[in-house]
Amino acid sequence: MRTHLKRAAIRSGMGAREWLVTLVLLMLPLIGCDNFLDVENPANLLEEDLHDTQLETALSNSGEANLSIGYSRAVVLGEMLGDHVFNISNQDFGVRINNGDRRNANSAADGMYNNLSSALSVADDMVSRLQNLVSNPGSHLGIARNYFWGGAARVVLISYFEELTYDGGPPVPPSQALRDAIERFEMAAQVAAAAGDRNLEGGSYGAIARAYRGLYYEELHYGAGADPGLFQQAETYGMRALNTHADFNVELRHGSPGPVNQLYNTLNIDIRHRPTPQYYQRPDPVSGVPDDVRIKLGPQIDVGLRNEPVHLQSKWTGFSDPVSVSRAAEAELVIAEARLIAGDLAGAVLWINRVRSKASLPDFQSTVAADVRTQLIYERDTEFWLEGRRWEDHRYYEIVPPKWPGSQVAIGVHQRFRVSVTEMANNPNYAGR
Amino acid sequence: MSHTGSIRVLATTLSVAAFTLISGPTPSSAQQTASVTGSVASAASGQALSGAQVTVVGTGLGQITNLEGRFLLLNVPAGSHEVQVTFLGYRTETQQVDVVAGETVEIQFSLAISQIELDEIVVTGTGAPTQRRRLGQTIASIDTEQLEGTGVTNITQALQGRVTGLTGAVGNRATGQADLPVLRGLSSLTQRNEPLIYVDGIRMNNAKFMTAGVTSDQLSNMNAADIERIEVIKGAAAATLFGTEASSGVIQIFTKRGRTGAPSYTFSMDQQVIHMPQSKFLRNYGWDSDAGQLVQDKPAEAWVDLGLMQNYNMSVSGGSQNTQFFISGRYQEENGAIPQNEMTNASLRAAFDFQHTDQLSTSIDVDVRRNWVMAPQPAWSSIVSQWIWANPNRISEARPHGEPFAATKDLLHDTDQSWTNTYVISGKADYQFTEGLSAQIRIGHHFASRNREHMRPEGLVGGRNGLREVWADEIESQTLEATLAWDVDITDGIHSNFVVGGQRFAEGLVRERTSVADFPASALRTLRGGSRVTFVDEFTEDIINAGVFVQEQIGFGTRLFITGGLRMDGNSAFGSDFGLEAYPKAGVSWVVSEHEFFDVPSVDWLRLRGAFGTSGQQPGAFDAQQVWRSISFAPGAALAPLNQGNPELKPERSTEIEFGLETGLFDGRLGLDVVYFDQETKDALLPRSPAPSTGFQSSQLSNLGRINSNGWEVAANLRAIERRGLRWDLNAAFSTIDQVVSEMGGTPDFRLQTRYRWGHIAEGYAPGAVIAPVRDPARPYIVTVPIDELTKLDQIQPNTLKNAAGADSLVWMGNPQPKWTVNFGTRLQLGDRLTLHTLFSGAGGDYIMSNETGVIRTAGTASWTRAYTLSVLNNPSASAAEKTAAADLYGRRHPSIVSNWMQKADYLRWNELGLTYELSNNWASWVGIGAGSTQVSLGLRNLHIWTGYGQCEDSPTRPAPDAGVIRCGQMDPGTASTGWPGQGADGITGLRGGVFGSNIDYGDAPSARRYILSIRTTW
Repeated sequence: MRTHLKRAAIRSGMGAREWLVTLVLLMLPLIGCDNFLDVENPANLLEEDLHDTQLETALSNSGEANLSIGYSRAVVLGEMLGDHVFNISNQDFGVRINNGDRRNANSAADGMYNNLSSALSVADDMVSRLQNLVSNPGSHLGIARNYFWGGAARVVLISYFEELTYDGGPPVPPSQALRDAIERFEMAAQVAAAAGDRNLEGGSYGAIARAYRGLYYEELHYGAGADPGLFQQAETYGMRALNTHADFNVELRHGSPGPVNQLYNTLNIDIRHRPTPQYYQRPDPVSGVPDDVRIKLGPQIDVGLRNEPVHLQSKWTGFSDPVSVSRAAEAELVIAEARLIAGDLAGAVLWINRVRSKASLPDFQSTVAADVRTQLIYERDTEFWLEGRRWEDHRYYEIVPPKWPGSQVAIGVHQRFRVSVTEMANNPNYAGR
Repeated sequence: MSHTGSIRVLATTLSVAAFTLISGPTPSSAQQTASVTGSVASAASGQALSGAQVTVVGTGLGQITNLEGRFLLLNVPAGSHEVQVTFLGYRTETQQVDVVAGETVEIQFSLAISQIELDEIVVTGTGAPTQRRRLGQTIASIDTEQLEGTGVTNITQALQGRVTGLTGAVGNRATGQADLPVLRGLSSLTQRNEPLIYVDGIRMNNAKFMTAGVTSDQLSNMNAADIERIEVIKGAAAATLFGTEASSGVIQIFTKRGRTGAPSYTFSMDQQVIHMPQSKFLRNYGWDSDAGQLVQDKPAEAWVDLGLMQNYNMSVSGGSQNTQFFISGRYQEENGAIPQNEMTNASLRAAFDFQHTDQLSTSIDVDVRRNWVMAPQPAWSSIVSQWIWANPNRISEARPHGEPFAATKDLLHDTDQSWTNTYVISGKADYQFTEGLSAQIRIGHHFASRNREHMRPEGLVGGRNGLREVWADEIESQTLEATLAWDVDITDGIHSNFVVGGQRFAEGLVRERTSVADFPASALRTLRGGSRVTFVDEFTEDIINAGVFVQEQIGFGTRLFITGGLRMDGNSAFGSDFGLEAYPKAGVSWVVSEHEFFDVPSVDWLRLRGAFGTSGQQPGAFDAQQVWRSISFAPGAALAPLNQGNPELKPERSTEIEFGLETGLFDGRLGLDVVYFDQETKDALLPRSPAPSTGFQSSQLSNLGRINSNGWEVAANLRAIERRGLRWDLNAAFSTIDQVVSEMGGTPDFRLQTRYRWGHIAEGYAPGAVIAPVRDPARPYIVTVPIDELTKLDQIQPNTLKNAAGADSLVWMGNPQPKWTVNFGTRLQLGDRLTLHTLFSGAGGDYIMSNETGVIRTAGTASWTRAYTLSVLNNPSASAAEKTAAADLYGRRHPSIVSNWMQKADYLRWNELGLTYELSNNWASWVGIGAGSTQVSLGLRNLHIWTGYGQCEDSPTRPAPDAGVIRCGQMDPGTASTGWPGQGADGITGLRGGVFGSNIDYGDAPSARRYILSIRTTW
């Protein structure tokens, strides 16, 4: 056979020239062979690219940007679950949330968890990356902000979900998550103070006040019982916040073409959600004058399910409106609540009236603890109307939204959404659950 | 890529042009020539054969026989030549002629019947033509002759019913809609399941472009009139040498080329009337509680009209001995039967072949195409969906049919259209070192740009805010390939064919999108009119695949051929460090009947063959890497996690073994082809979602799965009658396929679509199986109140079958892909001029989910069952027995149980019926431009479909005009959903729907019937 092949090769007439041409032809597909499989990826960054100091600004913004994708949407869902917003469609999910169904709310609640949980991870990750990237980690505002948004993500997640996890780790219960949030806010305040940002420093202390208030109710309803010391802590941090910046306001920013304010989008552009009619022309319980100025309604645009007029809202007037995450009024009302729990009714009334005076409302007066409590709940309800505190208050004060059907009333308000199916299916710590 | 893409196009064009000019055709030396003339007839009947291809081998000279079966070849160089005649259904014949300068030689051909042609020339992955008898694997081919008079205007229409085992969504869909051909089932769970497309050896990037609910691609806007032959390579065993990405098979398209001789002109025209039968549309029902009566409406009646397709082709071909050309142009316009569904196609193609010397020949091809598509919005807000969901009980002036979103007249303001420009330039050079040794190099550049505009004027569509979206997409691909073939007789009886080559294929993609919203007035319709930018994005991606291949084929006479080959591939998805992936192949072909011992009565020949091969499928460009994306955040730059990355990622590998038997029986009158194949895809890429708390939310691909497929393909062609003045052919094909996800590497079952229950990937089940809760057969529903208190539908609750834990039992409901296909047809030639043909195709064993059924009932609109049940429950005089019956009717089809929407998708479609009459060209000779031929064809496409799908809600009590059966689904099986789940940006990946979404009926229109008049004249 070899002889035959040799003869065949000779018969083929291949000389040196032919072999050379052949070789060149065969090599042609490998033109530029030093990088013939390398391609550029100008649309995205690889992990190793994130060590570039040029990315300092982007890393500083990332915690807030990622949280803004899901935060205002979560607020909408919370307000739907509570009594600020109702759903006028026959969309399955909308109907379920509207009816307080927290076990069959399917993919939207899951999506909310996934977005917020991812944002939490990003904010924490950005702190670590910036600490390795910058020369002044103790006074870097980007680090302070990512600390803050990591804490805020914890607080909002635990407000809706029965637990959370960090980086695919084991489940963390709400009380521990709130303590972790307090740590993040403390760090945010320290670094912001070093960076000279009094607003963020005050906002961080205000957020700690909110977290301690949350801890008090977590312990009251789901833990060891009432611990007034927690509310004392809340008051201390509330005072510190106001002393740092009397009118602090830390806002989560939005803007097209990026994440937009979903409260405006959902309640004014989408056709499926409207402010609940029970808030229309709501009289101030103190003056009796209708239309508490803090309930900002737009024009009536259609008729609701029970033939009542349905309005748009005008608190949020555009897609770019920032949403306040920690502001002075919250610290003031936390202090008022702390005074109430401590039995200092005059102090509670004083702090309630500080909030009312900013809204040009007449002073509230009472020496009856129950009335002060009712007024405090009203103030929180109206002051934070469409700001995502109402569902928390429903659980803390055990208020059942009036629109809920009997089946959900029987379950009660303390049930929260489960961790998302995606988290449970892919986090090994949930195996078997 | 816009700039670099243009530069690359220019560079490639200049390179090819320079190459051609530098090595330009050598002026032919004055040669003495002669003529060869003669006739071609059937050996069995003696009848002249019109349309046979006569060529002088190796010269570029050729002609088609005329009505009398005659041919005349001029300018044949003096000397000895082989004259070859090929004609579909007959054995190829070759005669040796000695031509003396200045003389005319007359030869006669008498062709024997052969329903399967062993010596047909086909092209394999080496790029070199070879005889079918040498191959161990399956290659199906479609010749242009099979398409004459069929009204076929695009490639996938040509494939439908003509390729055994072809499934997927093919043909008869919306105007401008591309098809998704699938060969031998699915080879991947998450990656492309569509074959690679090669045009004249140059790879085409068949990227999908969506325009609202219509997906178009590069294949669908190619001109079918330019096609000479299509070869379909099924399975990994045949596709090995095409390398990574070829595991779903390959479709090779060969275009028409010029022939030596005076210019020959062809003009063809197709006029098609598009008719959408009203009977296929749903009738809507509602319960008017005030009037206490059932109301009904059929919104489609007011809007569905006849559509029209016009298609005009003009081509000229000819040339000298050294230079041949083929130039064609086409204009096509189609106005669909559904409003806002229109399309135009214009193309110009030129192909030049040069014979520079005896050793060197080159060719250059240029193809320029422009496609425009206008399509209605998909899914929920589509025009068709609005007809389906319309509630006749909510009719108002603004919503004349009770449409939930917007009236059709308002939706007409919402326009979505795309313009696609395609430029393809390619070149080829062949160098013949010696008689047996040749080298070939191919270079090609394919570039397409698409601009899409979606405009919803402010306030005109259901009072909604204005919206404008603009897309600018570019795709490009470059092919560079070189091969060396060495053909040599090792001994007198043993022949070697050795091929070695290399190929580099680079693919680029740029997608840009900008959206604005909220316009001050409806008159403003440009981006600057929007008061808010809602979305801005630019994405680019480049992928390079490069490899080398080698193949050796040893032939023992004409009886036995043994082939071995190997392809080594690298791909940029894995980077340079990954190395090369090896894909081996082997095949054997044994023509048993060539042996002297073979003497079986009535068996003319018999061939046994077998092939083994491996092919691959690589993941996306950056799936292996951890990637972060920049996100639009108005206050400043920011990043978000995108892809977690998997450094262990590697290509999927599909290995296939196939065995075949081919035989010719009864003097070639019956050809039989039987194939069994068994394919296994290892390292199948499965998506594994990271825990969102890690920051990453996009699923990460991992090599975890295995898919096994096997099946049979049987095809038979029969010349039932062959006598003077009458020829009758019958053909039939049947295929089966059994597919199962056999391993998932510990990945839990998941759904490709989170919506409802479609698209399950579950171990032990077919890919995309529907696994859902089912109604409890013992108690399918529960009436929650005593029957005499039953007044509301929500008092009739669904009841699903439960497992021991009290949860819903998930039960396998059916597969999304057919388990069998059938094609059959016939062609009858009466006399010399009249031909009648028809073609049927069908498939079955799969299920369609009628989402229309579910949604109209869940949403409380349009369903007869719902309206009728309400009419009984609200009738104070209804008896308990009537209420019980109504509750039973509603409860058994309760919309909350997804399995109630499932229906069998078995169908048989009458695809084509055509009558072609051949005229002599008196007009051509009358105007003095020579003789020729003219064909006039009348035909129908998609005449009828026999299926049980879409007919349900049977009730004897239903009023006219729909007493008895009522429709509850509009989509025709085998045509796939155009709406939901949207085909996705690329339209083909399993995760986004694609072939897995082909069994979802969601707001889809039925397929149209087409009445065809075609005229084709050549002179």
